Amino acid sequence: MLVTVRTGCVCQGAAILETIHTALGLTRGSVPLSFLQWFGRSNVLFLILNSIPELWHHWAVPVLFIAWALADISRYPWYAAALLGSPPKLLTWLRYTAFIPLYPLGIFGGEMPLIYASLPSLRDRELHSLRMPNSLNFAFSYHYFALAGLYAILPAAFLQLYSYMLRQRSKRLSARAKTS
Amino acid sequence: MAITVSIQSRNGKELVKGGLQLPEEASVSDLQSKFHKAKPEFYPSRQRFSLPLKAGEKKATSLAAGKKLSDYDVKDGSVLIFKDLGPQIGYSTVFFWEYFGPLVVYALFYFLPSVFYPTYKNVPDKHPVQTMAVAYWSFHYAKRIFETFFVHRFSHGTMPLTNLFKNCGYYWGFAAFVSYFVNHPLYTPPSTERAYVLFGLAMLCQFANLTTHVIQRNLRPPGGKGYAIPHGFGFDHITCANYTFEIYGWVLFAAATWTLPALIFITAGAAQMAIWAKAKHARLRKIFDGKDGRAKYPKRWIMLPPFF
Repeated sequence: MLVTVRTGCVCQGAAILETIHTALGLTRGSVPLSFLQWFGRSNVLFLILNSIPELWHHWAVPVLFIAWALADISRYPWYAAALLGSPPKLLTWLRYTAFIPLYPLGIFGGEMPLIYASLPSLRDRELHSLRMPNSLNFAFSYHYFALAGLYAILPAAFLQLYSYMLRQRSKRLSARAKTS
Repeated sequence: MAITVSIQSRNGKELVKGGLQLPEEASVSDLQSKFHKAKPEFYPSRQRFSLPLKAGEKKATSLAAGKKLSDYDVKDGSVLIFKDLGPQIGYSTVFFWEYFGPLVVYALFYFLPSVFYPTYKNVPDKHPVQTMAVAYWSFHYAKRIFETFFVHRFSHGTMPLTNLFKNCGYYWGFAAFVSYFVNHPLYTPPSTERAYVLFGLAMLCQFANLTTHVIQRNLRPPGGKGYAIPHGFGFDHITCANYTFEIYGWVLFAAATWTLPALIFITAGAAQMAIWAKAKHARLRKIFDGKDGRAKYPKRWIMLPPFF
C-alpha cells in the first residue's frame, strides 16, 4: 500500500497543474474552486494518509484511489481534446456523467471514512498541530480542523460542487444536443 | 407639463397601475417619494431605478438620486425598471455596531482570563506588552466610532441590512481571534523596549490616519455626494493614503505583539482594502479624465507604495 500512497502523492502534487491551467486560461472554470478541490484532496492524502501508516490497510483506501482515478480518466483527455478542438461526443458525455456516481463514492466511500478513522491518531499524536507557548503566539489543532472538515466543510462542499456539476452537465449536454 | 412613466419590474411586470404622474422637471428623488406613496413598503433608500437595457448594452444605467429625470432623457411614456434593494440600514448604525463589538470583545479576554482560559489555574500577571496592546486596540476602535459620528461624510446613506451581520461577524470574530492569543496565559512576549517603540510608531500611524480622514471629510461639503481629487498628507502620492496608514499601523501592532493571528487579521484587512482602493482609483481616474475641462487625475500609487 505504501507504493500506492506514494504514487498517489506524486499524482496529487502534479494535480495542482489543474489550478494553474485554469489560472492561465488553458482550461475553463473557476480558479478558487479548482484550488479548493485540490486543497481538500491534498489534506486527505499528504496530511492524513501519508502521515498515518495504520490507515494504509483501511478498506477506504482502494475506494478513494479508484474513485479519483476513474473520475480523472475521462476528465483529463477531455481537457486535452478541448484544447485541440471539439472533444468526441462520447468523451464529453463521460466527462459530464462519470462524476455522478464517482464523486459521492470518493467523498462518502473514500475521504470521509479515512478522515473519521484518522481522528484518534490526529488527536493523540497531535499531528500538524501547534501548541502554546511558541514564538508565533498561535495555536492550531489539526484534529479540530479535521473534525470541522468531516462534519461541516466536506458535506457543504459536496452539495455545492455536486449541484454545480449537475447544472454544468445539463448546460453542456443539452447545448450539444441542440447544435448537432 | 406632466409626464407619465411606467414602472416595471425586471421581468416586465407593471408595478403601478397606470404609471406615475410627475412634473416634467421632476428629480429622481421626486420619483422615489412618489413611488413610496404608491408602494409604502419600498422606502426611497430601498429603491433603485434604471433605464431599460438598450441593444448591445450589458449594464443598465441606474438613476442617481441627485439628478433630474430629464438628465436621463426620461419622457412621457418612458419605461423605468425598478429593483428592490432589500431592507436597508444606515451607514453610521452599521459602523457603530461593527466597531463597538471589537472594543468590548477584545477587552473581555484581557480582563476576564478566568472565564476564557478556565483550564489554566495560575494566570500570570499581565505583561506590559499585553497592556499596551489592549490600550492600542481600544484606542483604535474608539477612534473609529468617533470618526463615524464626527468625521466621516458618507456618499451613501444606507446599505443592505445583511451587511450588518456580515460586517459584525468579521470584526467581532477577528477581535476574539487576535485577543484570545495575545491575552493567552501562555503568551510569549517579545522584547518590551522594542514593543514600546513599535507601539509608538503605530500610534503615529493612527494620527496620520485620522488626518487623512479629516482631509477626505473636507473634500465633500455637508450633505454633498460628488468626488474631488484629494491633496496633501500622503494623498499627493497615494490614492488611498488612509488605508496605507491603517495597514502600517496594524503591521506595527502585529510586530509589537509578535502574534501570527494579528498578521492574519491585517492580511485579510489589507486584501479587502486593496479591492476598495482599486475601485476608488479606477473611479477617480474615470471621473477626472482630463477631457472637456475636467481635471486629469495625477499618476499615483493605489494603496501601498512601492508595490501597489
